[in-house]
Amino acid sequence: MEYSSKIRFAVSCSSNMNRSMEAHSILKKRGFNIESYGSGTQVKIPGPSIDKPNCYEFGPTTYEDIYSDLVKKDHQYYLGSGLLNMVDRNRRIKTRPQRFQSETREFDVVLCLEERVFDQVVDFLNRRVGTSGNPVHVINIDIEDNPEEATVGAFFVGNLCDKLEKCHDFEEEIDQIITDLEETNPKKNLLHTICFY
Amino acid sequence: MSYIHELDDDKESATQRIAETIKEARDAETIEKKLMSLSTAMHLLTDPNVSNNTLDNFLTEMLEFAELNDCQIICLIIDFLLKASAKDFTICNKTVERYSFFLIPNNQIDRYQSVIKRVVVASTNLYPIVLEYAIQDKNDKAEQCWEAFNLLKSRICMLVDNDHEGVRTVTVKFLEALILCQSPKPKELAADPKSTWSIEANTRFHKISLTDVPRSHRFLSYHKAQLEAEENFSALLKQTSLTGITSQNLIAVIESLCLITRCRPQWENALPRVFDVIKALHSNVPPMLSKGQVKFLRKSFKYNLLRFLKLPASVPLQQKITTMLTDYLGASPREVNQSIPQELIQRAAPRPPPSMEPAAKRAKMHNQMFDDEDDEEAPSGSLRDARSQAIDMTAKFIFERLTHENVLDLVKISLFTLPTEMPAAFASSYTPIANAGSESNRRELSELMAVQWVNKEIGVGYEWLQEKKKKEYAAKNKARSEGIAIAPTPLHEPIKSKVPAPKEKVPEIKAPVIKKAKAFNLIEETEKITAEEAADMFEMAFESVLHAERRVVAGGAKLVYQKLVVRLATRFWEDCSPYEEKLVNFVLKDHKRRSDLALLWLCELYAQYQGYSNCALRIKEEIENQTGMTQAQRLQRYDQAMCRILDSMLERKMEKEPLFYKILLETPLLTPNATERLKNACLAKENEHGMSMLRELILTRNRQRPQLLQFLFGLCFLERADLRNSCLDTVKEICNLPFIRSSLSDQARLQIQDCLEDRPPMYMRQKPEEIEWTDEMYKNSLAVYAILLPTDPLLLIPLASVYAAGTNVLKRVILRTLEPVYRQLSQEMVITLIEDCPHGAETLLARLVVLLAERITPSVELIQKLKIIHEERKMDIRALLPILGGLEREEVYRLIPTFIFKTEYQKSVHLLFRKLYTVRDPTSGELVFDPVDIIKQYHRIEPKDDKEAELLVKNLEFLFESTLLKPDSASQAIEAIFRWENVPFLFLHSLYRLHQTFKTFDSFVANLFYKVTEKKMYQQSDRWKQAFYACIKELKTKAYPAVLTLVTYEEYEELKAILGDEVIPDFKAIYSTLSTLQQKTMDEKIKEELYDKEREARERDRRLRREERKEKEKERGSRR
Repeated sequence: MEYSSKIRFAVSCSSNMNRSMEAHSILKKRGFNIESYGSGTQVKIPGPSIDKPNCYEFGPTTYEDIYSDLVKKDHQYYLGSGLLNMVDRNRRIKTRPQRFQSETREFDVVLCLEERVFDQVVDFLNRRVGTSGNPVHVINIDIEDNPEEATVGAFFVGNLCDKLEKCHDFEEEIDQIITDLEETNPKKNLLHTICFY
Repeated sequence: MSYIHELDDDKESATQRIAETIKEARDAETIEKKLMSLSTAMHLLTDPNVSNNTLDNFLTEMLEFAELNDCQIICLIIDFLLKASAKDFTICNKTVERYSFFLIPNNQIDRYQSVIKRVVVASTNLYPIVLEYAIQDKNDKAEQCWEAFNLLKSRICMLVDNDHEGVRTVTVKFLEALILCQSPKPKELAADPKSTWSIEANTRFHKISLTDVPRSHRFLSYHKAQLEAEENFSALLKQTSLTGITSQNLIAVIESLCLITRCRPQWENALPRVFDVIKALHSNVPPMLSKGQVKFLRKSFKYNLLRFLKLPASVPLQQKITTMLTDYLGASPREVNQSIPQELIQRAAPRPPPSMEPAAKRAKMHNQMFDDEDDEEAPSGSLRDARSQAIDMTAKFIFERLTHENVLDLVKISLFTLPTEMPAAFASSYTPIANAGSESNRRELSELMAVQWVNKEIGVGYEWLQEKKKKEYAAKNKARSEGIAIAPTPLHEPIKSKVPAPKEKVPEIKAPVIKKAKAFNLIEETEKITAEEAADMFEMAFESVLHAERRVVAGGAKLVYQKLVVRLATRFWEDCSPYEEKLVNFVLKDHKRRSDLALLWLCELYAQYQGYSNCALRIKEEIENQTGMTQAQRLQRYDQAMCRILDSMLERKMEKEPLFYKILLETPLLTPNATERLKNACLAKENEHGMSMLRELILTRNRQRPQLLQFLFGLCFLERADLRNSCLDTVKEICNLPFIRSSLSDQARLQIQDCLEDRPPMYMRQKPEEIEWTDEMYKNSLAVYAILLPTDPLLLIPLASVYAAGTNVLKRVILRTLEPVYRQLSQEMVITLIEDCPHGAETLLARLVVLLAERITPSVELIQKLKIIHEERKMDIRALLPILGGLEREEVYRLIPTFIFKTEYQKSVHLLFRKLYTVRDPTSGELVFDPVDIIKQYHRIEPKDDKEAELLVKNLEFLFESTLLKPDSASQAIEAIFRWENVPFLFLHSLYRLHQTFKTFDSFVANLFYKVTEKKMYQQSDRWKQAFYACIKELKTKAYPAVLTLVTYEEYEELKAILGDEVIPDFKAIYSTLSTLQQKTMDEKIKEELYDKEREARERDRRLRREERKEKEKERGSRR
């Protein structure tokens, strides 16, 4: 709801498959108001070789479709690589991968899990013709794109969200929180900016 | 959304749905539930399918929720107001008013900062809406809205240095909206909406800009708006140089500046100025920023500079921007080249790197598109940010001193002060310098150092800046006083005294100190100014006081200001009229706001007239010594002032404005001349306003009520039916108010009293030369009376007095015009008139009684009193007609002869009988008078002479009125009279009259006539004989048998002489029908005369022939 006292979080990686979904899963369990997105042009997941990824279109494709496609292509291989489990988890969280650039809802904080994603999100927010003029904080946290790092990263994101949520007014304190985190986690490439809807 | 579909179905269900949702919100127990319902209600109300009326209807209900004092709900209300204003501009006034209220910090509400932020964000969105509303300028509300929004705007601008970071950030966006809306949109953007530039400049504020404001707009000043935008743009630029600025704010400012630059690159030389700011920031990143923040700042610079390259206006700066991008911001040449649109690349490519200006000039020659930019380079020096200029000056100063020795010294000193850790800003941009020591490197180093010098407030540039700021400060104050909202200058900006003065300037400072030796002598220094100079100065002072209104009001000293203006305009000089004229003009320029001032002025003049205003010693003395104006003169002055302002308003057709009304209504005294001004408003074609003002005046001005009523009544005499009607409507309206009633009645009494004057008073005349009374004048003067009379018993007697004393014309008018009113009068009112009837008004009284009796049965009291007055005054007995039923029978019988015999009453005889035959007892419902008795009484009347006898006969017509009298009663009465000992001569007249009235009475009448003839009654007197003949004449064949058989031959002869010979054939015909016995009793002579021999012979022949025929038939029958 638009007038909730909770902060409206969005988390975005490139394909809305691994990192953002892991964060979505954990943050949802912790009771945050959260949505997840991908900012790339298409949903891209590893294929049989590095130059043959599986690509799907954002929008019409559901996690269900991806799951059946992977099962059809090579059930055993994708089960072994853990991809099927990931898609299976995803389909239990929401129906389909969503592209950040297609979303019209407004958020208070958008968490980007890779600098390229951060650039895309900021570029999108800066180029769109403004609507409400409400401010949105865009934060970058670098997380490597593999299941293990995704889980660790999701906890890091969870802690950040927790700190923000506990603030009396997060806009006042966000600067300090991020600077503090930056000091303790120099490799996370923490970036922060403010954009306007 | 499902509710949208529902809305399409029908409007009623939409309204119902909204009402339900609001009710749900009201009943909900938790804030969350309330928010949910309110959110739905908001979407429903602002839906395009829902009418503005519905929105308006629920507006107040929605706003009431703000009283719950919950920040989330208030935020929702703020959003709702914004959406509602976008849908219906007229709501903007309310919105601005609410926003201003919400902007006041409220510590009692938790997280109130979020409300303030929301107000600022919503006001940003409201900006283009209010501007469009103001441009349309459909009504006064638009202007009020714009003014209120300006106040709100200035309050929001102040928030730019608020303690709260979030508030500051959104305020920056508000300034962005202000600048975009109040600066002109370049023509090229409108011309080609698909160009690269247009795409870059597409913001939510592109729809409206200063270009849409007509130069001739009533209240929007193009110049002022532009000036405001310029000032705020400069203020925004200065924000970037704040040392303590946070990363978030800095980013917001940079993004806003870049957005403005993309939309208005040439306006105010925005592109070069913003580029300078970026350059300066890049080389002197605020030290507080963390590594990540610096990284992002550089990212932002790169991103925005790349976008600048797409603008046609960036061509002259292309080289500088490209260098900056590639050399310092890590952009690859490919990236840069891709950003420059094809059409701009070609012009940029051949440019020689060392000098910018020739390239720029060449570009202009090549491309006509840049023709407008002729002055671009020239003003850049003057228009460029003063700070940048200061930096340049200091840089030049440093550059000149950047010798090897100096640099070496500097490095040595620095070695001791270097931090242990490399600062983030330095680390991120640190690259080994290849061209160290070269001129360009030295220049760059000078620039870097110059920025620091200026920041530390030292160096030649800073001194120059300080001087400039003093001038600017004065100019800005002037602009602010004109109502321009300017965001405050950054905190470090105000000039500080601690500035170390450059050494060479020290003597200059000391110079004035020496001059101090000479003591200042006030008397020597002052010169006496001439009276003219003093007057001029006073005039200027007065004007400047007048025009300080806006600032005074903002400062909350309105009353003091008004008092000052009024005192200056009324007490300062002997002849204040020029100032009064100025004051009137000043008030009328904005009469809505300055009405208090006008009233205060008039009150002061009134106080002076009464001698209360003794504050000014001069006036006090004048009054005490009786040297100045007399009281009458002071009253005249008050009157003139009042009329002056009213006249000015009438001239400008402003009589419908509230000020006009206020002056008439709220000043201490309404002068007759001012009332004349009101007359203008009342005489106008659409005079509702004037009349309502007059009504209000009558209601509120106790002391002057009689004059005002007189004025109102006077309007009835003008030759305009509509005006008269509206006056009478007003009277009807106010007459029901008890406190007006008595004055109204008094005035009405006075007015009819005027009808007794020899000549009509002036106010009644339509033209002054009309000196004779007319029916119309009388009628008009009774018009008000007619309204008041039915409900005010005390008005009747004055009317009667006037009637009694009035001319016959007036009497007639009073009787006729007011007849409908008389019909409404109660019995009690008539009784009061009977009790106190003025002499001469008896006829009026009689008329009233008649009209009353037509409606109701008069009470015993009325009858008694009327009888008494009737006897006392010897009144016309016709007045008694209505109350006949209440009189004693004997009395009534005594009245009959009077009616019958008096010539003047002849016309009322039929009324008398009508009354006698119809009047019934109110309790039993039976007839009061027996018709038989009445007929008998009539026959008992003895005529004194022939004339009376004649009248008696004549009026039988009314006695035997077929419609009122039953045949039974008539026959019964006649029979009874016949049995009297002395049958009156009238009896025979009655007989034929009866015969005429009731056709069925043939035999009854004939029979009675026979008996009368038989008894030879007609022989009693001449009257009898006359009656006998008249009866025969009328009854004709019904009377003939009796006549033929019973009269003597002499009498027969006499009759023949009277009736004429033409009756003989009739007689003969009757004779033949008489029986043989009757014929035998007849006088022989008569018989002989009537006996028809020829006829007898004829009949005999006929008889013989008949007998013969019978005999012949018999014979034929026997033969067969």
